[in-house]
Amino acid sequence: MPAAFFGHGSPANTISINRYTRAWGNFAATLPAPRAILVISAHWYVAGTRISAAPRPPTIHDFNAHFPLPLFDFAYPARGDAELVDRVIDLAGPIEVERDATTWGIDHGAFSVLAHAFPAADVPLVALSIDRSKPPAFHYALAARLAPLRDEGIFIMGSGNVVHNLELADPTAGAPAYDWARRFDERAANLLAMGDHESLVNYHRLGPDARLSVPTPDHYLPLLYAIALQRSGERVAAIVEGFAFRSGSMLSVSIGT
Amino acid sequence: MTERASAFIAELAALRTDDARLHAGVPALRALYRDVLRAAAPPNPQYERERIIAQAPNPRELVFLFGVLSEGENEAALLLELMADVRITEPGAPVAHLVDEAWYYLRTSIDEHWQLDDGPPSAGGALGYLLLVLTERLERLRCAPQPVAVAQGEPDRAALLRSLRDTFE
Repeated sequence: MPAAFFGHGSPANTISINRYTRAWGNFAATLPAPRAILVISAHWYVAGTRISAAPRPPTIHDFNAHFPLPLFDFAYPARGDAELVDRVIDLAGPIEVERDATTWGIDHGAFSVLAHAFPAADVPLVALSIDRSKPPAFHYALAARLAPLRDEGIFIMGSGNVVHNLELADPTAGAPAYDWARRFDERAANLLAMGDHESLVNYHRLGPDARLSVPTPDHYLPLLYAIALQRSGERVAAIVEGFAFRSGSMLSVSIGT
Repeated sequence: MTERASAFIAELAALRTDDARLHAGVPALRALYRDVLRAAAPPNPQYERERIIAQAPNPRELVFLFGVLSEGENEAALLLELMADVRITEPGAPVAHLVDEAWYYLRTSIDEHWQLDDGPPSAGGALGYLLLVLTERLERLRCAPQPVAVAQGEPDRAALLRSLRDTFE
């Protein structure tokens, strides 16, 4: 089973049809039918590694009231998967993964993509949190432990943005990406193509462009969860590229397609 | 700077390591949250008020809810608490990424265009800054118990954050 990283952009993509959402849907249509999906979203960024254990994880509308009302009515009613939860906990050991059936569910990082990639919501879905107390190398190592899931029909997807600087976001229509954002996006794409995971894990050493593009780790770390699953000889392919609001990369990539 | 804030800063500056500063400063920060709640919360329910404040599981988030911490300050405070917890449970565990993130949130809570810094992030500086602004706001709340509009009418915060980093170098 391939794995993927999606640049999810605005929550409004959930109910929009654009070149990004079309690309997500077209990509998913090429996949073998997954037994279940494991999603690592930038928006479940907490102290500790947790896994969604509810029989039907709730849809979490984790955005402010400025977004269109239909977004707040959106639901992604996929059921959970207790067997996958147990398997992830088993594979992650000795890293402790806490079952969480109450505090979180399917947030917009997950459902904005899933609404287009798996619109029927008929594939069981489990979410894994990102432990914000841990450095990037921890996340890469944890994800590598989950690689056997690919042979078990599990589609693993990270959802974030390679470049994500909300403070500098500019909604001016048609405005080009900032130079530093475009440069870092291209550099990350080149590192992905070369399979240089060490540089991608140590992104904070990549200079001022990286500091502006990844001011906080939350939206970048899901990329590490995807690339850690790459096997020898597998290529990374772009699903779609582009920018939103000048400082948000929409780069999405697949691994093993 | 209030007397209480000066005392906090002097105490922290006298400590030699970030671990020691976190060990002393985070409990002080947590005590301040409850003092802020006592000053900010309305008087009702009269008899349950102290129990609710004393037993609140996450007083920092309530302080944020009352508007006495901004979103960026709240994130930075959370990260400092996390740093202290990590250093207690896993001595020697890396926390540089947490200092970076906390410092970014403090910078951009002051000015969202303050993106690249002119020096390294400082755990002590971040801790000192939060202790200082919370102490100041607590004094204001005690004088006029009403929601505090953070970052309004406060003196040059960027200079303050930079000077506190220098203090803890």
